[in-house]
Amino acid sequence: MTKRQKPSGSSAKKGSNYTVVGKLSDGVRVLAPKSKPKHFTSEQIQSAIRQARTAKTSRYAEAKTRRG
Amino acid sequence: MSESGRDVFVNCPFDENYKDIFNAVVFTIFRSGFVARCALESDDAADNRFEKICRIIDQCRYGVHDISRTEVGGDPPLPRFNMPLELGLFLGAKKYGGQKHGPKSCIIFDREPHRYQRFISDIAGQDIHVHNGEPRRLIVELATWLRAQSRSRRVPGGIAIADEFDVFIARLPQIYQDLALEPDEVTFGDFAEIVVRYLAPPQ
Repeated sequence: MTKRQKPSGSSAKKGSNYTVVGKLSDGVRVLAPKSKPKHFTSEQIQSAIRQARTAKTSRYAEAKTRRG
Repeated sequence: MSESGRDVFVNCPFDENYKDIFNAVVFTIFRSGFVARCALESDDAADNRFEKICRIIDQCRYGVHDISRTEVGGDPPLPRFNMPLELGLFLGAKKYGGQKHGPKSCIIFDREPHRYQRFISDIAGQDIHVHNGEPRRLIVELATWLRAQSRSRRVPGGIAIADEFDVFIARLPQIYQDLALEPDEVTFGDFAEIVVRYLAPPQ
């Protein structure tokens, strides 16, 4: 099953003691780390990840291809 | 399971040779809906290391302990015992910490079956998991355990997470390059943020 993310990120929600960064298609809520990045802002990291994702298909499909 | 008590204390080696497994542990924890915590999360020199570890254990309901690097080294050859010490702290908190710490739960990894019996036999009876130094094997074991702890069928199985991790690791050099960052310059805070933003990017 392909795991795709639903809209999330800047609209991070507060829930109990945790900040929910996003909810994945399987329903898992990704929670924010308790520590902050030292060298970069979240926006800079998001930008680098976006570039690394360029021209890629879903993570699961890629991994499946790699495994043959 | 409610979104409380989802902090997971990561008691693992931090050296370069262990990096692949450490990264796999952190990725699996966040992918399963938990929060990875470890002694590296703060680099405040004024913060006594032991006090910092105690504080994190105090705040974590769960623990991932890897005692696979408990082996002799150096001159004279002596074992490094930080991991068994921190495992003992965690188990002690659970044993004597009353209602607050009684629900604590942990998973213990070593690299070979029964090896722990030669240096920490008192934990016999605990379920010791073996990873053989292989990130995929560790992910499958850890994800299965986290899924059971969360009591949620939404948490995916270990093989699916291991597949996602393989792709993430393949992309990581490009991410570091875009950030003009060498792998050994990446702090735990940087890496945790990369994992989280990779898993749940804004659309």
